[in-house]
Amino acid sequence: MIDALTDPFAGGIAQRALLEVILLGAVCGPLGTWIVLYRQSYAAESIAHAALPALVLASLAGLPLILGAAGGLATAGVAIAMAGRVRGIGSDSATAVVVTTMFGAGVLLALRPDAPARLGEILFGDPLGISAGDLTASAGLALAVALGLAVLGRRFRLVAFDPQAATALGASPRRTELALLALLALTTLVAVQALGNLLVVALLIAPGAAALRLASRLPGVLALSVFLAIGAGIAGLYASHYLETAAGASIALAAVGVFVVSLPLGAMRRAS
Amino acid sequence: MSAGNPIRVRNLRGGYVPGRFAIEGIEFEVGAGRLVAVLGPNGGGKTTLFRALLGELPHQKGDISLGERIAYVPQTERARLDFPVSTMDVALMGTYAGAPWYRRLGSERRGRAASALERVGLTQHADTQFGELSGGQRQRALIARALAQDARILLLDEPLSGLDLPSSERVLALLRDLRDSGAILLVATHDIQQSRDFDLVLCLHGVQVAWGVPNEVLSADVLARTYGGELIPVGDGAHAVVIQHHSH
Repeated sequence: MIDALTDPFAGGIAQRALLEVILLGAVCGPLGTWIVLYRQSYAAESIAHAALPALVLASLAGLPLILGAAGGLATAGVAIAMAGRVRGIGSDSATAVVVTTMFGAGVLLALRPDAPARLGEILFGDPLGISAGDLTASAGLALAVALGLAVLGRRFRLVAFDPQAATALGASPRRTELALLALLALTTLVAVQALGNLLVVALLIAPGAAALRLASRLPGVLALSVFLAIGAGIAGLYASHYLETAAGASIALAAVGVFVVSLPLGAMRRAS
Repeated sequence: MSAGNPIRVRNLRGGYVPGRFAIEGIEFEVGAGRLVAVLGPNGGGKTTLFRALLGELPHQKGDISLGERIAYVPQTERARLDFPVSTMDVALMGTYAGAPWYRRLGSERRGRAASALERVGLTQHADTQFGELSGGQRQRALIARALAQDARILLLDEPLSGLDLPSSERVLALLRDLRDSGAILLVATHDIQQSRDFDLVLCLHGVQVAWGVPNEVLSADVLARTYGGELIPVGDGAHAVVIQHHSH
């Protein structure tokens, strides 16, 4: 039994993958909880997808994906802000236009004859491909996100609960929401290598949404979201090892599974 | 104007777009221990006035002088009922300002929140989930949050909206109790009849239509100018019913 638990993580590659999913779970869980509470799940998906062309370009140029993700997220942020300023276009429409444009451009680049062999990695991630350098970069970014969550925790709470009164209580809704989106962009930067452009949203949203169904107080929700996100990450790695499935997709499915299980459990909790 | 009054507003005008005023010609002052009704139709400028008093209106001119700390109490209907917080958590939000992020809230702040809950009669519900409180209890919890801010000027946005009669009376009794302790309460309301029991009334319709004690201010002419076509005169014409097309 012990061997069955430890065998998948016997090698350095799997150990780095394990550390990566622990780092990701520690930030994706609580950040995802705030994303769900702020009803910004669409923004989470959009930000990740908008980074696709820059990821493909980075891959074509042989650069680290994390650099491509950073460039893509910055470009998407500027484009969404500029499109949002066009008279008559709301922020939702601006986001939709920019994201579909950038995702389409990314697909066109990816379908070229000389498309990178790493396209699958870009779209679906590969935690087993994480190098020691990638892990160090992820740890640094994850630490920055965790610090941001700690510093801004009370502001997040004020604005999410009551944006109308938040300013009088000391928190600007606009700045707080921008700070949340900045942390979301940083987290996407951390997660895109392991989970890819398409699957990162699952680990961002599902554990937080599940924790909100299962716990009644915010500190408990945030702690549970970390536990569920890390649990989903580790479960995905086990599934990948024993079922010989793609690791990134397995983690995403495990995260969604956590949410599905939380549906009846949450209903039972509320009924009791 | 008296220099001693905690609220002094002179020639206030402002809005959300430069050069386009949502409110104009607002001029009043309020002493300590007053319950003030702010009457007006939807879009008449009640919320805009509150935002100006809070310093949140993007474009405003004129003078506002506040001698006490100010707090805003929104409509309970707009509060997040699914948010994972207890009644005590909500009261504690009033103590966040200035609290170091790296430290747990100290006993002084917790004591302030507990006192505020006691003041509004919710001590026994301190651990109850906010979303599980009744409408009146939620309104009182939001008032407790304002009290925990040590605010002596409270701006309440339709605090009785959506409440049943017993809950309304309990909230009104609390507002009178706070008034009697020296607080100033500005209450945005549609209820003309209720506002007759307030100390002062401010009537708004983009501009300041009238200001003063209810007996002098609430004439048929003033109400007609305040509400226009939304008002249906009843009986002797000094009483009227407001037709609400929507609430927000």
